[in-house]
Amino acid sequence: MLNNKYIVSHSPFIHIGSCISNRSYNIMAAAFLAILPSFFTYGAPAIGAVCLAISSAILWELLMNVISKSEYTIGDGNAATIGIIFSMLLPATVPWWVVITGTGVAVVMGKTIYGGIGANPFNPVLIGYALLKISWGDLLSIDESLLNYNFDYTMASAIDALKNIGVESVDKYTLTNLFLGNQAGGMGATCGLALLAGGLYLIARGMIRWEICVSFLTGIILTSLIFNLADPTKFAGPMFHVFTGFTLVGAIFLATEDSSSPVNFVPMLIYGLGCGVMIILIRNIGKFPDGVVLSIIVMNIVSPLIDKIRTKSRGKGSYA
Amino acid sequence: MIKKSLFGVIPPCFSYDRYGEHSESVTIQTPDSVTLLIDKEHDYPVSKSILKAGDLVIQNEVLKINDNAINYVVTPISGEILEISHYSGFYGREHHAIKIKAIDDGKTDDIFAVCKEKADLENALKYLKGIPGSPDFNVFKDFNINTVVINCADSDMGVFTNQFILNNSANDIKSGIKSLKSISGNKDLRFILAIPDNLMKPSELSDFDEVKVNQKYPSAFPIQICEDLLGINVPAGTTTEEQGVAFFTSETAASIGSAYIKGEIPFEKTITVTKKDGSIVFVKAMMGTPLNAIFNELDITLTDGDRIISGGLMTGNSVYSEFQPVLADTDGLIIQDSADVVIASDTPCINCGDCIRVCPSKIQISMLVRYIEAGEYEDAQDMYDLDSCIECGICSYVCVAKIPLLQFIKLAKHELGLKELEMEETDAE
Repeated sequence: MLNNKYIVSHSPFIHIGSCISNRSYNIMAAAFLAILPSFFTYGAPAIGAVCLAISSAILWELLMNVISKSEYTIGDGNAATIGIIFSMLLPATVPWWVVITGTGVAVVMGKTIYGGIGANPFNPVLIGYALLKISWGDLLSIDESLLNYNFDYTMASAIDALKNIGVESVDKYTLTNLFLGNQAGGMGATCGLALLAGGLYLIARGMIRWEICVSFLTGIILTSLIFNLADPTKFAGPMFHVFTGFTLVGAIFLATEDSSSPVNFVPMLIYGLGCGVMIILIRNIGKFPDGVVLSIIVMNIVSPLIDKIRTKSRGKGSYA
Repeated sequence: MIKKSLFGVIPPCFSYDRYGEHSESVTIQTPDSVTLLIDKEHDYPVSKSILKAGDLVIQNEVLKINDNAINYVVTPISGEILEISHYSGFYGREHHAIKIKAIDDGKTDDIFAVCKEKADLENALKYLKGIPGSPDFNVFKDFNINTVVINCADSDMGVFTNQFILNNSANDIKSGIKSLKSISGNKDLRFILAIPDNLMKPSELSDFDEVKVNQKYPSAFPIQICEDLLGINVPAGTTTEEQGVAFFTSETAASIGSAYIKGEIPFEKTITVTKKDGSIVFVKAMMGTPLNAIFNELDITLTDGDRIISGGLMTGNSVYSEFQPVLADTDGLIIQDSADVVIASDTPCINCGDCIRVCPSKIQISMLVRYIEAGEYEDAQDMYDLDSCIECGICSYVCVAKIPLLQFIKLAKHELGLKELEMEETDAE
């Protein structure tokens, strides 16, 4: 007993037991739930693309760890999370080198060059996707990629059809089909039911911030409702917008990324609303069919600024 | 203790453990040797110390390093000084450690007995500075105090000393309040008892006003009691004393009370000891007793990698040796098995926002810690409310990245304090 070495550290001496890897695994589980339907729909190519995205994201981070001679951080699961969320946005038939390039851009240019986890100003997934979209837009186009698939529902991408053909195309899609995932789209972006279930799970477990998610969808619904009420012959209704494109992936997995989103209550609401409003503006009167990626990147930029809105801390008010 | 819901969207509930009305305590025998600490004063080099190894001291003797020194310690036993050494405390605090070997010669210095008649600030400052609870009587000199809160709740988790004293020494607390009134020299001084809401006010104390402290951590912190229960706002960066409210724990009040009743300086410290299995024992030990005397008495076996915590789970200090002495503010002693020890990590903040949701002071800790990590302490203070922090430690407790947030905050405050001191010194020159 005389020469024991005791652990000396700073208080507090207890911990709630949460950890980053646990958080990552929960988010990955919810993402996997949303991807699962596409495994049945598209089969082996989808499984291959998702696995490749996850593994290449991990390897990119490992490579950066080795190059920068830093501690290996792949254990926290953040790179794998980037990989799986990235794969949710891709069509199932995407070429392998596009996946690897995309995760490389996401992990290296989106995250590690800023200093790794917690330091990225933008959601890494969006950086990767945006760069691919600019470089090889055709390969990411849902309509072109899934040309050879035919199921008993409309195979044209709903959100692109709305842009290219107009609001009359909306009638071809029933809400039930959109909700159950009977639509063409990114591997993890089609099944509204699975996305919402995963989202509710993450919110209940406190893995994502519900304020962002809820205000995001509120922004979408309110803005599209206003457009729809103003001119139903030109603009689609709110539910169509919620269940098409990347809306739900954006609300649940993209906008809620920890380090690029605000943490105070009012800023979270502003951030979410801003994303939602901007998406509908882009979809309805802008150039692009789907504005999720662009508007979240834009809101990522303003996030640090709006996060300055906060309640007064203790003893900092005016006293009468 | 702290319950975490499976549903993380509900903020975790931090509540104090309920105190189960203990009345038994284990008394530790007078040890063979005690170690007493005197705070170091800048001006006096140790070499000029009038105390030397080999000097004989008698019980109740006031020991000073120098005749003009302000800091002193009263020896609880008679004996021979074995050694005087340097002792580094927390956050750069420095002390002289005086080790005294007990010699039972029955002699005692009853210098305090004459003070029995009348409690006043002078004799309180002269003899009672180091009694259990380590009261700071200077508040009556330096501030205009109109309210004294006797805090019968324990501010930290896993410590029940003040509640134990409230239940078992109500009479001492009562006379302590009387003596405090006379020490303060203020006849209109208001006394308020802060009692945990699961405990009844003992009948002996029925004359005094009470406020009920709820079970939600950190409601028993002085600032929190001041704001929530007394309705007095404490601006950031100031103390409750500046608002006219002084805090004394029930243990301090009881020690003051028993000192003036008996005319003897109290040395017996009540400690809540939490064993590895979580069971709680109340221990009464003489101040200066090495901790291992307590462990031996309670049959606690320590192994490599365990953690000994002096104080509570959230704000206590871990000690590196079982030969450290029991101090006037050692309210709790918690032994953590090596398997239960959680180590902080140097992962950066991932901005999850959990700390902000639980912070009782509504500080944006995620930004604060980024500034502190970069060494920008002034900016942390100006822009992100460093001063508003009451150092409760909840943020570190919930941190997903296991960042030692409380340590960062205390470090920043410490560094700013040093800078201020430096500036004052250059101004004086």
